[in-house]
Amino acid sequence: MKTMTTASNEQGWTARLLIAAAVLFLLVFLLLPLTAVFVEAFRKGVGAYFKSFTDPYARSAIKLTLIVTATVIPLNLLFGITASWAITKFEFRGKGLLLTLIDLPFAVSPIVAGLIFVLLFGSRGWFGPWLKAHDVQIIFALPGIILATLFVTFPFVARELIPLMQSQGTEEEQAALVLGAGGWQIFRKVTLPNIKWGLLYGLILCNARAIGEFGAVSVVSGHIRGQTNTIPLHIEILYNEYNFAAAFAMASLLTLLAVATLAIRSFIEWKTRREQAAALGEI
Amino acid sequence: MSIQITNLTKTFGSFTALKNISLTVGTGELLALLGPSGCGKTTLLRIIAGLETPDPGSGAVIFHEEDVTNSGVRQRQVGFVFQHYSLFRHMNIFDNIAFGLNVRPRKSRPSKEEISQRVHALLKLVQLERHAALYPRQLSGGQRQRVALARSLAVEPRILLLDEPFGALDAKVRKDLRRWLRRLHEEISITSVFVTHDQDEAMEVADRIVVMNHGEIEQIGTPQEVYDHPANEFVYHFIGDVNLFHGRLEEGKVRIESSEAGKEKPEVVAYVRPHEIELSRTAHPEAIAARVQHLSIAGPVARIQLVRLDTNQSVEAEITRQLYDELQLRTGETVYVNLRNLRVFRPEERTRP
Ligand SMILES: Nc1ncnc2c1ncn2[C@@H]1O[C@H](COP(=O)(O)OP(=O)(O)OP(=O)(O)O)[C@@H](O)[C@H]1O
Ligand SMILES: [Mg+2]
Repeated sequence: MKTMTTASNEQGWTARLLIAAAVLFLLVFLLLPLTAVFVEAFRKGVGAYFKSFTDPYARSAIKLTLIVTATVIPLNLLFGITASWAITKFEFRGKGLLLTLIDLPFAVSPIVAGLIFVLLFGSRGWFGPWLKAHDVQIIFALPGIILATLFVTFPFVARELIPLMQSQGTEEEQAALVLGAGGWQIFRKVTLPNIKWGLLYGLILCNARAIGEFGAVSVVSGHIRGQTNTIPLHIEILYNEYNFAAAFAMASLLTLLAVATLAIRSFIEWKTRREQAAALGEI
Repeated sequence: MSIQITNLTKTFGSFTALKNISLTVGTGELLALLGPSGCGKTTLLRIIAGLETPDPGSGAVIFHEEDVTNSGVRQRQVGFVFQHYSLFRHMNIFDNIAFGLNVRPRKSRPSKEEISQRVHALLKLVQLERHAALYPRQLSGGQRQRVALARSLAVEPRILLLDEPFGALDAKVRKDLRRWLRRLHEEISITSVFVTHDQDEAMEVADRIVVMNHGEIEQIGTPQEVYDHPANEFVYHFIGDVNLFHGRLEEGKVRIESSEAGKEKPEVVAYVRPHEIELSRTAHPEAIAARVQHLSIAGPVARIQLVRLDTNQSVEAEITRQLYDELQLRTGETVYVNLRNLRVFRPEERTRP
């Protein structure tokens, strides 16, 4: 009995030490910088804070980021579902290769991703002359930014859905098929309701990355003020110009988006855990 | 609606799951596919449903003179009850059963009231009227199984296919449900094929039984035919308990002998079912002496484990309770075993490897 108390006391101490270390680490490396962002943003007062968003360049950066995100998310939705569906519900050659390809953007540095597109579509790139002849601008323009963002974000949805759909198997779909449902009906009425939370989760991660992507976009953007600067790029410019208050005001916007994303994510996790617990009761 | 299958073969890579299967299911018949695990029962059922395709050019599936070998699943209009229920987990029981009607194109879709009526009639049929609003996870295994059945019947299929419908249930529920299925079948009389690896289930429920092994059909017949006249050793083994005796063939008769006498006569293996063994306390020339090793008396029959005194081989006998009471057997004592219905298979009827 005695030894047990000592043991649990020791365990208690170890636990407390570890927890303290973790909390300290979080405070120093996460909470402190986050607070700093907001402190810096409001250094010149609330008025100055909101005024920095009225700046036309700032507005254009926000608008561009929203356009890029709004384009990328539906495309990722489509691609993610198609790829996961193909991989989990059908048997075909080259499945392993497709799985590896989906992971590629996670493995490749964003800078390299950006450079790939410059190499392809830049003025001296493979398709450069052809694009120039047809008066199509991809690099240093919106299409380039969208392509680069798409590249770095497309694994999120598929990565989230594939394990989920694999664990669910195809029996419900087969049951629906035998009952006379068509492909689209099966997807809408059977598959989608079973994957909706995983899908949303993937989209939220994808959204966060699309808004915050710096590296790949930086390479293809050309940093033209009021035209090809997204929020992260604009922040860098402001910062380099010693315009700290404005830089941090924009940064606080990204931070708020990140916090919101985390909040939604936690909600979804809570929700899926509940559904999983319910599903476990089923077995 | 009859089903006719001719010369059907199915291979997965280099593995042959079904070999040259030919089979006819009569209109309104309830047919059981019986066989050990992995013998191809599910594969055959899925081919009938159209969920799997036979090897190209290998055979045909015909529904009442209509060749459906190349038709899609939807065109075939079959009901399929899956081994693991596979109900739609995010729909309640009502919506599960209504699914097949709700997905019909608008032209042929019944009105909301009609659907509701039909679903409630089915709920009544499967005795789950008060469960309409529950979700699959809230039901027991047997209840889910009945929902799966109701769901497949809702679309009024031409043929009903059931894959081990009671496989995952405990013995008591199984028994109840198979009686219930038999009654249901008598009520609605739809051509049905059901898969099982439980010979009792097949015997009790089916009009005819197809015994399968290693992707081939070993025998087709009524339960009684299969039991009384098994086509070969495999069927005999699979359909009930057996005792095995080594002997020699003499002038068309089997002699169970352990002695060296008659060594030149051909050797045979003879089979006897436990209930075809007679026990007595008096020795006679044909009988084999054995020691009673274990007695188990449960219900109307007594099972007796015996050990032959000459070869130490164990023998299982099944006698009526009445006879058992008359004999007053005790463990350890010696009795005489008489074989009533010895079965010997010709070499070509022996089990294939
Ligand atoms: N999609 C597939 N790919 C490869 N092999 C398969 C496939 N489906 C079935 N098989 C093989 O075919 C054989 C027969 O399978 P099947 O599912 O028909 O057996 P079963 O008689 O239903 O067995 P059980 O009683 O265990 O359900 C098995 O050896 C199985 O491994
Ligand atoms: Mg099976």
